Amino acid sequence: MDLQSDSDPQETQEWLDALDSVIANVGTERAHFLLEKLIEKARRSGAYLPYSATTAYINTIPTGKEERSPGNNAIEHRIRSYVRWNAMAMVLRANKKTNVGGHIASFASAATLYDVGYNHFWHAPCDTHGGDLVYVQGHSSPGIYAYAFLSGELSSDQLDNFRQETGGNGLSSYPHPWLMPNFWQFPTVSMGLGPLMAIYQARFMKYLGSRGLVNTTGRKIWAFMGDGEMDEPESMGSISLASRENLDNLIFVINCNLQRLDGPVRANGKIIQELEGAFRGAGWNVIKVIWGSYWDPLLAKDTKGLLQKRMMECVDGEYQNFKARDGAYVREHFFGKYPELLEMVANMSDDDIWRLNRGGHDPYKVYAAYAAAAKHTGQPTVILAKTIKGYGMGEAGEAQNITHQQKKMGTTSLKAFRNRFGLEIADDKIDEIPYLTFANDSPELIYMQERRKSLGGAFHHRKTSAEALQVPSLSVFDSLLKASGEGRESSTTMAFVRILNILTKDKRIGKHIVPIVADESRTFGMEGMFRQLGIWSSVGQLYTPQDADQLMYYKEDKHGQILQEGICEAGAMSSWIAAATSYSTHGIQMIPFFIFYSMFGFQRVGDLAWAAGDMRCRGFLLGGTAGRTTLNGEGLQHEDGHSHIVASTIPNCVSYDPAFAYELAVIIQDGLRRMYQSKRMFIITSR
Amino acid sequence: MNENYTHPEMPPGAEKDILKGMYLFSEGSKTSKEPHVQLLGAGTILREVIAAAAILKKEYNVNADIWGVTSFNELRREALAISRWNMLHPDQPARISHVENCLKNRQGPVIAASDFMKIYADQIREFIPAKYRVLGTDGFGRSDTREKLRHFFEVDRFYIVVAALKALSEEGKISNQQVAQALKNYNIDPEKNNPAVS
Repeated sequence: MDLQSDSDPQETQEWLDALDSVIANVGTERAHFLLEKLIEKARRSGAYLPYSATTAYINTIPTGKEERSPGNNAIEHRIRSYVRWNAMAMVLRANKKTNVGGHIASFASAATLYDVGYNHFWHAPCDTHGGDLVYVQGHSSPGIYAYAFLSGELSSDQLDNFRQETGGNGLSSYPHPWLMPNFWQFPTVSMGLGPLMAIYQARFMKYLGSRGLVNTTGRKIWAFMGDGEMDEPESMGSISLASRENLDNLIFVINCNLQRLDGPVRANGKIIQELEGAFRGAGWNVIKVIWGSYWDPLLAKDTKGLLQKRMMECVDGEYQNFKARDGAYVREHFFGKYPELLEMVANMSDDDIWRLNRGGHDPYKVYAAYAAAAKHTGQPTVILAKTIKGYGMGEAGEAQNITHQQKKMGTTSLKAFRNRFGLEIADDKIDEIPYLTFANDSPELIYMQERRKSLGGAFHHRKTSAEALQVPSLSVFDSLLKASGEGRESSTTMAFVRILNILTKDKRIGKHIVPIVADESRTFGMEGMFRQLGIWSSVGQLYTPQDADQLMYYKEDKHGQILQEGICEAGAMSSWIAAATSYSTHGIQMIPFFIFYSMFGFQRVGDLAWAAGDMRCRGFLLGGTAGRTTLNGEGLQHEDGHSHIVASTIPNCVSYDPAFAYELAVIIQDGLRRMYQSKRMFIITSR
Repeated sequence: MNENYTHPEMPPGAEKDILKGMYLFSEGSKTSKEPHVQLLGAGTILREVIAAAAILKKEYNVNADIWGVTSFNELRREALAISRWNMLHPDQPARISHVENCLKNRQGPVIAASDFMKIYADQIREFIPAKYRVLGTDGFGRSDTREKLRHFFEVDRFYIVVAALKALSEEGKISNQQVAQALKNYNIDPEKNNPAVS
């Protein structure tokens, strides 16, 4: 249909006037209701009205509906400026004498996004709250360290050992629980794994709550990621699961700084619009935070929609370029397209135009988006925050294509940075790039401490205090230790099913067992467990299963124990990781068994298995039907003759290739003892 | 694994060694003057090893000790850790790894077979105190019966027998003709394609 030509402008105007009058007299919600009714009526009358998942290129939350931050913005700005400086300083100082590298520009673009979270949203675990879980964007780690330093959780010595870890007092390049077990929880720098794991973490939290094992009330998962990162298939591959499962405990924050490592993310288009369509189409609540408050008066004046039209037609390549230039350039190339827009900014100086800010750098807009996301129910939320990569780096990297790798800044750039954020550093000290701290009695430090106290205390603290489990002795598997007897043939897979049966019935650890399958239960002869343990579902079973009249029917249940992942090994592995780190994130040891099929285990999810090692997972991975000649009929893509070799690449993964039932029983019993009783960290695979 | 077979009773006291990665499943005659071999088997292929030991005894008077290897990975890790400790503590009595300890007073060449690539069993070569021959399933998989696949990938009982005989002939314990005859007996075509590149 041609939306551009209007065959009857007078009729069009009458409809628009009617809509205007509804908005003026009743409000936008009523207008929305009427429009949906009109669309529904037209569709029922046979019209084809395809759904459009994108909206105008403006903020989703209108100015009048923004929830205002209760915080002290002046103090928060000062704290944020100190964090910015220290985050930059630690990278520059580390690279003065070494070549260890580091990133300045990513956190520079995201400082406000983290700051608002620390000050107002993220609960640490405490008596009244189970704690929120935050997946930090890995390349922003210097900013996280800088915040922890200002709060007194890290020392300047540690900051000076950024990326210099072999001495034992260093800070890891990125979030790595293996390297900093008391600090980091979630590794996120294999791009895409953070968003994927966050989705399954949110689902696992619902599972724990629904089974009555943990009180998960009010807890949220916040996952930060970059717009360039969204190109990894893992980033968005499971977003429909998040909406299908109504994961309203999940908030994605996508830092849309428009740049990836080599250059622009979507120079010829708009990443925010693309992501909006994909997420809304998948059933998410989408909140766009594109423009900062300085744009509000201009947008208020835009009654004809010309400014919004210009905002929409301008592509990301231009938006990036504007921020690498200056106000005069923006006046000429952005507003200059239309005389009416030039007129709109005629009274503004070039500096005023340069101050027109992006939404992700405006604490008011960010707060409003976070508040709306935290209150939203029934759906996961994604916040699309538009930012500037290298914000504050000026000529040394702001919005420049080279900025991702930039780890050196000259005196002029440092002085410009200092002046821009109002920092007190003497000219003769600037080349030392000193760390900035607040005095103990300063209003800033008192404010930081007061904010964190109201949210349960220091945020970055990985816990490991879950209670040890009393695991059964080997004698419970007695029947497997004896000879099966002449003619009584069975597989090790069946031996495992018998072991699992014994464990799930154990009074002390039975409820801790989490069987995870990726649509291969029948392959392994495990379908009997469907009825016995139930397949977990957040809504139970809303239908009569086809095999309801059979003993072992397909039973879904709100209290079910099995996680049935469908044909999704990456999802099953992510569920396994959530369960295998539950001792840390939820204060209760869960015992996951992910039974995968031949090559579709290690070969397929190897990178997640590596992350699992980093996360100090405790759990069992079982390669059902492994060995090149043992799974005989399935051919080249199935017959696995190398997963043990892949397993050997993960330093804390203990792997076994058992032949007989008694071997399996000994291995699993001792694995339980080592992991859940002695609380040592292992992944155990046996097949 | 989904292959059905009968399961023997656990050898008494094997738990600790199962966890370390290698345990003695059964012993051949210790005193006899006939040749000896050490057979290492993992996963389903342990059963081929057990069958091969019976053939070796019956048809060639070769005595085999059979070792169940639950984890070549763990054997290597432990042996490397001990080797490292020995290097860093030259003035102290050397320690000995589990795999070396298992094989130290045993006679004859060592043959290992698994259903994984040869590199899996090969990784402990440095710690084997005798001649070491490894069978494994290098190459792209394909569909057929287990019996035919194990013949194709050269990990079945007959290949294990041939590998043992070959190792014994290299030590002068039996003649080359006996190995050649064995190939004939088991219908093994010496010009058969190499499965690793087939």
